[in-house]
Amino acid sequence: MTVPSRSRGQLTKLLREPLVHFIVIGAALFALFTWFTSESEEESRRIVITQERLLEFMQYRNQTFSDSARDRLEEMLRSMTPAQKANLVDEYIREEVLHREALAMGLDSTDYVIRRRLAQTMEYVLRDSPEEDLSAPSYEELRQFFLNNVQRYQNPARATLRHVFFDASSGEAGAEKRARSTLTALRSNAIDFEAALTRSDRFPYFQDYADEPRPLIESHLGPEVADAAFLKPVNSEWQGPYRSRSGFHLIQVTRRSPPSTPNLESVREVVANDLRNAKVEERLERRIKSLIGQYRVESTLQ
Amino acid sequence: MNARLITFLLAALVWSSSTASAQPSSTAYSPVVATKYPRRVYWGDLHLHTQCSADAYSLGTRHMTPADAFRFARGEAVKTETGQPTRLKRPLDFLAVTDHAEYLGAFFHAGKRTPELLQTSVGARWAGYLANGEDRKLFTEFADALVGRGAREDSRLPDFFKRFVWRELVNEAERFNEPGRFTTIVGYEWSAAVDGNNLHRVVLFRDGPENTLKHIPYSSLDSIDPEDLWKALEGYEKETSGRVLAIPHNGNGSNGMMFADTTIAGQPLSTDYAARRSRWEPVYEVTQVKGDGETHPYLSPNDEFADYERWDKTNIGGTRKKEPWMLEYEYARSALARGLAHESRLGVNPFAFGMIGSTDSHIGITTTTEDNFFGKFVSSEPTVNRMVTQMAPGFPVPGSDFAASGLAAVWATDNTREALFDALTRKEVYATTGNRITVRLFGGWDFSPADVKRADYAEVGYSKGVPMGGTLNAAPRSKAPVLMITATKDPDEANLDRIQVIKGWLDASGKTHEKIYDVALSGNRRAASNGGKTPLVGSTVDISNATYSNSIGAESLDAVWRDPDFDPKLRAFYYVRVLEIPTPRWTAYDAKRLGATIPSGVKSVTVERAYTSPIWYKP
Repeated sequence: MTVPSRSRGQLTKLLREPLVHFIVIGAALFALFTWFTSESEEESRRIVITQERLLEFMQYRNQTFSDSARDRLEEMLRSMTPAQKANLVDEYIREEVLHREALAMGLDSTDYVIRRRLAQTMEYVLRDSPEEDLSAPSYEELRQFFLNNVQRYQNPARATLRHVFFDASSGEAGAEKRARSTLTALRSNAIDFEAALTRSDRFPYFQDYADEPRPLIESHLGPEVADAAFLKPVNSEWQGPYRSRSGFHLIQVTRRSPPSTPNLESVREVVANDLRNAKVEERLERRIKSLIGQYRVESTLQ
Repeated sequence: MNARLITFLLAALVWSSSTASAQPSSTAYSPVVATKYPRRVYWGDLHLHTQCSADAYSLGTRHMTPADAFRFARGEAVKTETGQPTRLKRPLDFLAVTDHAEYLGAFFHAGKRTPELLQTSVGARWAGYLANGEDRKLFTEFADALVGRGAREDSRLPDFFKRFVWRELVNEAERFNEPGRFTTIVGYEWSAAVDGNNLHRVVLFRDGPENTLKHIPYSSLDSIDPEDLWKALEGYEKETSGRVLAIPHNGNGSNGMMFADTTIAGQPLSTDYAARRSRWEPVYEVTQVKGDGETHPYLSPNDEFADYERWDKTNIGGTRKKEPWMLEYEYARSALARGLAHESRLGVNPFAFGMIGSTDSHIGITTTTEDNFFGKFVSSEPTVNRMVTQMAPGFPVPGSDFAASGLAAVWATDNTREALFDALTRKEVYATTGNRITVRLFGGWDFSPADVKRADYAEVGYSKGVPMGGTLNAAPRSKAPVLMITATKDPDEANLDRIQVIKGWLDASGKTHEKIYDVALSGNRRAASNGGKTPLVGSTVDISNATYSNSIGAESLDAVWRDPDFDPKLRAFYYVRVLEIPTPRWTAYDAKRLGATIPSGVKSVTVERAYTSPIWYKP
């Protein structure tokens, strides 16, 4: 039988159709796939009981993994009666089957704790795996990073001061009056600091502030004292009275250092460490982004 | 031959032949003239672990170095192991990095594949575990080492490697030591457990590298008996003329062994034992992340604030359940009382300890406030599920049991290693559960109520009495001890509820007693007379929003209190407990910020507190 030329032409045309290619290749793949999966399906439904498995099972159950504990468990396993052993095997099989079925149902991705745990572990893997050497940045690289993040390396303003305190809780006017007369006495050198203390009240925090940063001074003595300590000229003169939330203060500022930017050399190690951390983070984000790029995300959100 | 190995051998030769080659890099810095008595309190953590601790490393602390720990403590922003940025509201004044002596730095170097370690067979084995992802085997080997005889015979590290690691740690501490501004203290932890019962001690040095480098950290592989540790410390002092001390912690995990009536060898305590114990262990770490150790509701049924951050299910190894008889030998309050009983028999008090708090964090950062709590291990860093995650494999304690605690407060003349160490030895130190509550305590016979209001009350305190940690001897005729106390809130945290005096004494029949006195109350409350209860301060806590307000409580409280029940013939101790108003516990912040669910039975409100070192009375 001969094929009519028209039909032959049609067949040739058909064989050139992409759709046909697609169907044929798809069918072949399907055949292959079923053949393989039926094999592994069979494999995934096989449970092998070995001495080693049972021992591991016992170790997990007892939450002990030391060699001595292992020896003990091994001995226990050896000395089990056949009934006890059969019981253990039954328990193992039961747990194993439930575990595999849970995986097959995808429960590992619906249990949020397991999901988070796996995601976190993956993040560690991505963070750790080496790719390039991050340990030796060039000087220029360091300098750029330092300049871009200079805020982070600032030394705060600090002051050294002492103060005399008058508690306002038992009367505002009286406390202020005592503060003013003590100030006059201190300024005229009629009394010294120790003597001024005997005329004043106990302050809850410190008597002296030695080279302390502004936030600490402000948290103890309030913004009014902090402003006086950090904005007025330093001349060892007694000043005040200033109001805090607890009363009035006379202060004597003896030293102050303004906020300053250290030179790169003095903080080089810190900067290098920060740069390394920043690179690790950056690399991690890059890796996660590239993984995300391998997925097609579909959204039904408006 | 391996070039790195040659370099290493050369280097080893150089160290072993050089003496005291390391120079402290710090410059002396002292902005005020040293005063004759402490004018301010310094804050720090004397118990912190980094990647150099074997358990920390095998449980995921891979990146946090001692340098990170020092930087964080001195106020810099640091990213945690899980990459979360964090910073303290205020810097600390001092820090001791105290990694476990057992396999010190070894797992970290196994992970780093450091040739000095890999050339040993044990190092090669550990590196193999790490390469195969068998981190759990590492953790197990460490846990075995703690109980001494559990360790494998072939797990001994050679001395040259121990020296190599110790030198790195000492040098890091020296690099960050800035006397006057930020003090680093060199130390480590001896981590022995007998049958899973915790006997851990933190070892701290007063000295610089010229002395500390002569020491090799003493570990539970050397001995699990604290008396042997003391011998080693004595050897160090003899050899170097340096100074060292040990600080025990977590009696709550010792199943009755921490303050037992017998030694590890089973002998009754002797006068010699009592003298050595009080010599080497002047203070106890009473509060930390694994629970609070002041007292227990079973021991103090009349103390309505006793049920606080309890860890009382098993010993530290989780191998044996807790039984009620053990508690008396585990908690500070009962131990202080037991100490009086021993003293009456032996002439020396083995448990005359002061108190500090510290964190025992294993992630390189000291975080103790409820609103900035980063947990103990990597698994308890802030995540939505950390409250139900168990502490470690084989340690089925849920994360919700962790306490955001504690800090060491030190009344020292200056912020230097020497001044801080000396304050520890004279017990002029105290514990807080994480907030910086300032407490000052003096004991004497003649304080008047006006004294505590004076600006120079501290001067009066020292001239007419003794500070916390001191002893009052033989009472003058018809006088009773008078305590002068001041307490001030942490400027960044909650107001104060009250000051309490906790008294313990030994009666004529040899029985111990305790009593709590409310000696200063915020607001217009009156302390209850015998038998009654003082009205509570109330609560402003909004659990669902994790907030509170300082509309109740006081910024500062004081008291001059005379013991109304004093008997001059009976031994006694007095310490002060200061309570804050109720505030949200870290669990409430987790629920608010992370959307975590607080499991039933887990507390979401806390009462932060401070415990001073006692003042003792000796007839």
